Formats: sequence, C-alpha cells, structure tokens
Amino acid sequence: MAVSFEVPRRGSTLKEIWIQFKQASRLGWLIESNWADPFVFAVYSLIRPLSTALILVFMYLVVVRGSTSNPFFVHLYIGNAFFMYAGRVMMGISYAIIDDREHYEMLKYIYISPLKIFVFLLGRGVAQVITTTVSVLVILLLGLWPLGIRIPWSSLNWPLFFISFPLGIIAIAFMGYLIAGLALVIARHSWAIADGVGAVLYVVSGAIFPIDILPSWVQVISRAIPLTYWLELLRRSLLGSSFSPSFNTMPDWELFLWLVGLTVFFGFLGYFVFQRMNIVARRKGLIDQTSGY
Amino acid sequence: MRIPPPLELFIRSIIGRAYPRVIGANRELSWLIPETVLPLLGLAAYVYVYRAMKAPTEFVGYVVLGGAMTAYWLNILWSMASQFYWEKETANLQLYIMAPVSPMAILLGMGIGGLVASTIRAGAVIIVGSLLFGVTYQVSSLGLILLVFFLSMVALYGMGMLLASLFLLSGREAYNLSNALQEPVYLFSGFYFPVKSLGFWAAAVASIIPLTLGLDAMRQLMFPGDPTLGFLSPWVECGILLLLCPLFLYLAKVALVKMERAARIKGTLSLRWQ
Repeated sequence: MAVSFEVPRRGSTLKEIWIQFKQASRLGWLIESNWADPFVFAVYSLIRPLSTALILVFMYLVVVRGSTSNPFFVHLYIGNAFFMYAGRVMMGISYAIIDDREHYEMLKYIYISPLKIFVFLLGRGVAQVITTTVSVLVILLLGLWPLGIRIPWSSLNWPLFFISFPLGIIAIAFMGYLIAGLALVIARHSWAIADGVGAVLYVVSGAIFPIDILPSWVQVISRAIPLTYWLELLRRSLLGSSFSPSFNTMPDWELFLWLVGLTVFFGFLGYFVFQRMNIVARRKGLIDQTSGY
Repeated sequence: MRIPPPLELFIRSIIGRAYPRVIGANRELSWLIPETVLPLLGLAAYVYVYRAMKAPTEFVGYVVLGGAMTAYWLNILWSMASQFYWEKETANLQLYIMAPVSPMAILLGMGIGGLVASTIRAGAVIIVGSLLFGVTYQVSSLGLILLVFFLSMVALYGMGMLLASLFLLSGREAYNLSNALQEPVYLFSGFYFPVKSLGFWAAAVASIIPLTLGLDAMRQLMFPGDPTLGFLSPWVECGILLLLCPLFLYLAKVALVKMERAARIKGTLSLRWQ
C-alpha cells in the first residue's frame, strides 16, 4: 500500500494539520478496505450491523408477534442503528493504537514522522464515520422497507437532528481518545478495554431499551454520558417522541444542554487523558511494545 | 533417538498443541474477567430488551444460555478458523508444516484445548448470568442435555477445523472474515431467540451450524415453558448432530490436504502482513 504525502511549506500550520488529517483518513480507509474488492468490502461492512439489527427484529417478533410499526420497536430500531457510530468510531480511534503498535508495528514510525498523533487518530476515526454512515443508511432503509417502520415525515425536526448529530459524533470521538490514551499504557488488556467500554455503553445508553428499566444505580451512569442524550435527541428529531418515560418531561433544549455540557466534559477528559498517557508512554518506552503477537 | 510410532506421534501432537491452549488460557487469569464480563454485558442488553417487552421469564434463560454459547463460537472463529493466520503473523506456521507431525493432529489439539478453555468461560457466564438475572432451570433429562452438548461440540469443533483449513490460504481477509461471521451466526443460530422464529426453511439451512440445533435442543430440555418454540424434537436434533460430527471431521481432513498443497504452491505459508 503506497501512501504519498504532500510536503507543506513551513509556517502553514493549519494547512499542515489539514494534510495530516486528510492522509490519516485516507490511510484509515485503505487499512479498512484494501484487503478486498469493493463488492466484498461492501458486504463485509453491512453484514455485521444488519445481523445485529435483525437479531433485535426477531427478538421483538417472537415476543410481541405484532406489527413492526409499534413505537417501541421503532425507537429500539433507530437507537440501535445510530449506536453503531459509538461502537465503530470509538473503536476506530482506539484500535488504531492497538493495531498500529501491536500488529503492524508502525506506531513508532508514526511518532517519528511529522504527523501529529492526535490528528492521525482523528483521521482514522473519520474513515469509520464514512463506512458507518453507509451502514446506518442501509439499516434505516431496511427499516422503512420491508420492515415497515413509520417515520412521521411531515413533523421531522431537521434542525434538532442536524445540530445534535455532529455533537454526538464529537463526543464519541473524544471517548475514543480516552480509550486510546489508556491503550497507550496498557499492554495485553487494551483491546478488552476498548470492547468493554463499547459493550457498557450499549447497555447504559438505552440504545435498545428505555433506561428506566435499568437498576437505579446504573441509571445514574446513563445520565452521566452524552450518548444517552444524543440518542434521545435523535429519536425525538426523527420520531417526535421519547423512548424513556423519564425523559418525557424534559424539553428538547434541556436535553441539548446536557449533550453540550457532557460533550465538553468528555472533550476535556479525552484530550487530557490522551495527552497525559502519551507522555507517560513515551517516558516509559511503551510506544513500540508488542505483547499480543 | 527413538522415533515414536505414527499413532503415538499423532496423540502426542494433539496433547502438545492442546497443552498451551489449556495452560495458556488459564495462566493469565486476569483474562477471565473481560472474557466473562464482555459476554455478560452483551447478553445484559438483550435481557433488558426482553424485560422491556415483558417477555415470559424463560426468554431471559434463552439469552443467558445463548450468551454462554458465544464463548464457543468466538473460540471457533478467533482460535480455530483464523488461527493459521495468527500463526503466520508470528512465523509459527512454517514450523508446524516443517515438523514431522500431522496438521490434522495440530488442528485436533487446537480444538480440544480450545474446548476446555471455552467451557471454563461459558460456565462462568452461565453461573454469573443466572445469578444476576434470576434464571431458573427445569432440567427434564440431564443425560440428554449432556449428550446434545457433547455432540454439538464435536460437530462444532469439526466445523472449526474445516474453517481453519479453508482459511489456510488467507491473509488479512481471514481476520475480516472471522469478524464478518460473528453476528450473522448469532442471528441464524438463534443465540438470543428461538431459531424457529426464522421460519422452517431458514432454520433448516441454519442447522448446518451445529450450535443451532444444540442450542435449540438444550433450551427445550432446560426451559420447557412453551413447547411450540422448539424447532425439532431434541432427539431428532441429536440424531442430526450425530451425522454432522463425522461429516465435518471428514471435510476438514480433505480441505486441509488440498489447502496445504495450494498454500505450498502459492508460497503463502510464511507471508506476513499480506
């Protein structure tokens, strides 16, 4: 795989960052996709999320034996579709550290190149956003037909959707940095942390069920993560109603403020932890450690 | 130097390959935590979905049992099917091929070792999951459950050996194929819902994966709440599994010979990072 890099003129910092970001995104895309022809890659990208969605469809059908236009099912389906961003973008950023350090043994070369590691990881995350968007669109189309979920097109709240959606992606990216930071200083268990955080978020964010059904102490965690508010806002903007009864009384602006506040909090936390762990890993000589291969 | 007779060498190779699987898996005990907690988190999400839908209580048991069985399927995908890819990455595969042992013995050793290691993880998931979510079992025939489990595992690990042989030629796509096969099998084998709800023909096709029939039979024997949810009778499923066992072992042997020869011709046995 040949990756050509443009050499920026000195002094053009923004342009330099843009080139690094662009090349890292391209590299991420090539790593994701160049092992197969485009058709096989398309099937590969869709088969996992489609299967997860269909598991939920059959779980619903076997119990309820009713119509898939039921509001409960529609909320569950939409939540599951958008949660894919959390799984894949967060993993994309954190796994880049694990893969490049342990598997391809390239992380040390990234560090000694003019690339900024922070920008490099962001680019790797962007490649995941693109592939995930395709998967989400296909799952939503499958939901509309043949599953027949009903979306009230006339009352869609596009402004709410378009301001909430990117904010949630930013929050997810910073959570990815948080895990990437931990992965820098942890050897054998770094993949488990990445997978574990994704699995925890799937449960506590109420992606596929209302958070009210969780034990009360878990609901405290649910309310402390941006994903819960993000999924709730996306559901409201697309479906016009809440999944969780406890959010029923909360107006859109309040949910949005929670999302903004928690995104800023996780933004600082992710950035701080990553930069701190980056220094620790370099001091301890962990950048080129290999423990799993 | 004494050269052991072929059968002894075969058995010693199996033990030799199974040994690191069993010892290695339990040497780093801290692995038990993520390997138990991760499936538990996955199944917890599905348990809460059933609870939110006010499903009958046996559905929670279905999810816990299915969640425990994921340990075996993950073991098949990541430690059997794509194992030769990992061995290639660590430059061990060429040593296996050069050694005067049957590759079939290496696969059998991998399978037996993996089965033992996965059973510890699956057992932990069942115990913790059952306690956490209050699952009650109504075991009607322990002997039949054990027979179904045994046959499912023999057929499943036979299938794992077949996949390992088929993946022998693969490079990076082995990793991606394993990744892509994970959730579809959860879907088609009915890990989290009764497979009968897929419809008769889809369930019949899915029965080629031994866990489909094994799970369905075990659920019927452990949670006899709604008999209409079972796909076939446990005895019939047992009989089909009995046929799948030698079929997969035979196919694995044939595929291994062919793929090893193809890999030698293409010179891919020692290629890394391809």
